[in-house]
Amino acid sequence: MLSIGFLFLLGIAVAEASQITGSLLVFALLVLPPATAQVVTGRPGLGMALSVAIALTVTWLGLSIAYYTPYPTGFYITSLGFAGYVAARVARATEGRTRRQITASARP
Amino acid sequence: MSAELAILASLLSQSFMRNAFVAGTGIGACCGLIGYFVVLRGQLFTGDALSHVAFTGALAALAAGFDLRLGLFGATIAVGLGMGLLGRSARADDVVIGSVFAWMMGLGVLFLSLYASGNSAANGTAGVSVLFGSILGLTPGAAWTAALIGAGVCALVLIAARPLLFASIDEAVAAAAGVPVRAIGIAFLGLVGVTAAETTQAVGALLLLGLLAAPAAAAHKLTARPAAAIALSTGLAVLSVWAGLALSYVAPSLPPSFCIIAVAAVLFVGASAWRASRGF
Repeated sequence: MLSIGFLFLLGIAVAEASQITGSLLVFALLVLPPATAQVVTGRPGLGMALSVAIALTVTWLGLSIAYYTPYPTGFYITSLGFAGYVAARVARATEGRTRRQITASARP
Repeated sequence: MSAELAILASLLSQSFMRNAFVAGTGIGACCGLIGYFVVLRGQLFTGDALSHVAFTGALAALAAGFDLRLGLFGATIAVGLGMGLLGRSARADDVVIGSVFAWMMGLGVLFLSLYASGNSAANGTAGVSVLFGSILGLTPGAAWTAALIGAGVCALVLIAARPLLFASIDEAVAAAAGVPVRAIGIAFLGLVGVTAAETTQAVGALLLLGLLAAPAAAAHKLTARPAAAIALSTGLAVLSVWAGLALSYVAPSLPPSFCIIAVAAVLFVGASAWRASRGF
């Protein structure tokens, strides 16, 4: 019952999102912000808030950039979302590396 | 009824229909043949990914002012080979692959807008024809090229059929027996790339997965014997293209790509029902 309800809501979300990005690019707005949030934090509450914040930022930024340039909104939203995801992964990877180096240098 | 038959009889007198049948036969045959192995190897996701690449590649070539097919084949073959080379060593998870290809689709939208704004007089339907195919709009030259490429892919797959089958069914044993498993896997994905580009011309980037998967999946349902399944998969794919073209000719309001995929889907549902009725 819960999963049916969830899929119902997911359907509504997809229909909503396709008005902004078009049905082909729904995936970008639906998956990239939560994926980025999950890279940044493991805590569910914070992750949800962060995911919503990222999605809003990406949409607003994409809309504003598209207003001042001749290129389509969908492209900016996917690119910003993807850039955010890559940045989070890179930050995570470098952070992990520095932490390992610190522990390695702390060892006598 | 006789009116429909008369229309069907006049079908091959139209040159655009003859071109569509010439190209469609080659495309259907290589799609069914490659599709059998794609389903067997569990690489359907590759086909889906290549459809995104096909869209972006074709529109990138159009935006840069080249022939559409240059970008189409170049992008799908390069990405197919690249995926084969990275293979399992890359260990990219679903989110990474999905994100990269979602972004690729976004790039395609950019190229579409570049192309449409650069050629205000040119047709704005390029995006639609890449997404949904334009098999009725092929010139005779393009149709024969598509048919020859399809025949070439089929020939290559048939030549390598035995080792390819061996490597697909049991990779470890095949490798132990001296089959060049890795090289075969890479070359195979390159051929899937060629097939994806071919099929995009017929049914478009959005529907190519249907023609790649449905006939092959139906063949897998109908028989477990590889030789029979390969022949069946190829036959069903060609049948889907022929029946779809004929259907769209009789009912002009139905676009050919829809008809082709609809026939393929009906064949798959029929095969599933037949298998279910046999109780195994």
